[in-house]
Amino acid sequence: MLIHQTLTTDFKFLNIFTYNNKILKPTIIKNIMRTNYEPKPAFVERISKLLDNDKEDIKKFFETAKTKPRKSIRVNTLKITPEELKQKLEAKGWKLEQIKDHPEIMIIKSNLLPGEIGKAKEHLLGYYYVQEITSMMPMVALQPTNQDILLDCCAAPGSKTTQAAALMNNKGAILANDLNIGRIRILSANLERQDVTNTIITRHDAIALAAKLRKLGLQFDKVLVDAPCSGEGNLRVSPRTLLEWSEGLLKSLSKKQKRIASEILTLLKPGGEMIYSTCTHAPEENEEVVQHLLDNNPDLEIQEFSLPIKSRPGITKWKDKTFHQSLTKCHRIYHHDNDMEGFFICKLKRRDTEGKLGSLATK
Amino acid sequence: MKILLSSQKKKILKQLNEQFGITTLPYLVLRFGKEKLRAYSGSFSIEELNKLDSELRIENMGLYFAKQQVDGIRLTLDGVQLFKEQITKNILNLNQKQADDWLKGQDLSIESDRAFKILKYNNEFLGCGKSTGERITNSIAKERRIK
Repeated sequence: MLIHQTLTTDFKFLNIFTYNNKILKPTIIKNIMRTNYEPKPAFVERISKLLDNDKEDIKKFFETAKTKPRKSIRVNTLKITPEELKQKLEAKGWKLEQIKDHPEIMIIKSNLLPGEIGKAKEHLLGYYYVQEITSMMPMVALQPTNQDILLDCCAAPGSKTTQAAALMNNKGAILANDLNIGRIRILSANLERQDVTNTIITRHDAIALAAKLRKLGLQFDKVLVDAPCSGEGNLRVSPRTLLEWSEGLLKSLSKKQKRIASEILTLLKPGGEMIYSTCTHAPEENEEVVQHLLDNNPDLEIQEFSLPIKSRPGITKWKDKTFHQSLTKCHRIYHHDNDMEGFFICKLKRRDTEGKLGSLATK
Repeated sequence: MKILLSSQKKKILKQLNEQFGITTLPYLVLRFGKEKLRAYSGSFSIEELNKLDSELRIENMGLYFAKQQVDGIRLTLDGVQLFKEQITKNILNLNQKQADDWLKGQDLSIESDRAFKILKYNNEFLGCGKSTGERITNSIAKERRIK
């Protein structure tokens, strides 16, 4: 976004475009200015394989990728009840649909003006958080309670942290971490607007954070690793993902995710639960990471859980790799199944046996 | 970050009570910088928080609920909402136009005594502003204003 703004204002009349005082190559400019991106053949092939080469399913996936997802909000129950907010928004003419058993989750059915959801008085007062429904699912699966100590290790911009604080009724304790100072500012602002009082925000690389917390001897009842990923599930809002996508990127991310998840897992109490989630479909970033955790932590098991939206089971085979049968308890969410975005969620539990920490798997 | 002693917290509560009628402050109160007061409700003990503070780069903790100024305590918008059930004093009821103007970041031409005022429209608490006698100075952060 920043690049695009710079491009439209700097030296346009000379056909010279700069970013951070560097002159950009015409090919880069061409790619940046594009709004529609075609998927690379390798991407199409991989998605087709994930969808069992079902032609209808594949067609629906790629057609949906070119459309925008439904708008949704999550009611901030720390400030207002779902019914009260619904009344206020319906009085403004908004049409809302609530998700069964989750009245705080609302789909906006009416066509609002661009920016109207973010500019509404109720948003400024922190009565709701604009959040994609699939992104709410990791916390729906984790269900933190007011007794828990929760770690959200890649927390910014704070959608899941604020959701956890609401579920915990501002009790228990949350440690929300992120590395980037700009993203931390957004995280802080979002936590303020939502009246979150039970959270500490720290700024560390997730791996360094794990080392520091181990040194302190602090362990957590619940952990969320919403790992940085290639974002294949966000194509509808970030089509640029297709431009940046490569199999090499998946491999390097997979390595990073294994390291983060392994290190953070050492902070999980015996009997504690951890969600590993991404907004991507690549098995290298999902099942392969979970399998890596299982291989190196014999006291770890995958838990079953249900979601209020359609999902598909995790896979047990990808290319030359075979994953444990219990990986089918993971949830794969595809954007065309719910008219939302894509996600992967796995719930892990450390067995409460001898109370010792799991091994540090990846150095 | 500085965790306030119970005697310091009592002083703040006394001031909050005098200004706004607030009777309980069920939080750990922390001072960030010279003026910013934050409310923390998490279950970490003071000892645990000090340990965390010694080892981790803590950017923020709890909610920024008030600014302690020479002329009194000014509640933030979120601070007003945090204590809305307790606030009984210095409430100014606005009409719809005044509420809209306030949320747009404008000062309000309302005559009242010189004090920090809680702005309310119907049952909604819209923040806190300082009265100069003739007008209420707006304190809604730019990013929170209606454009």
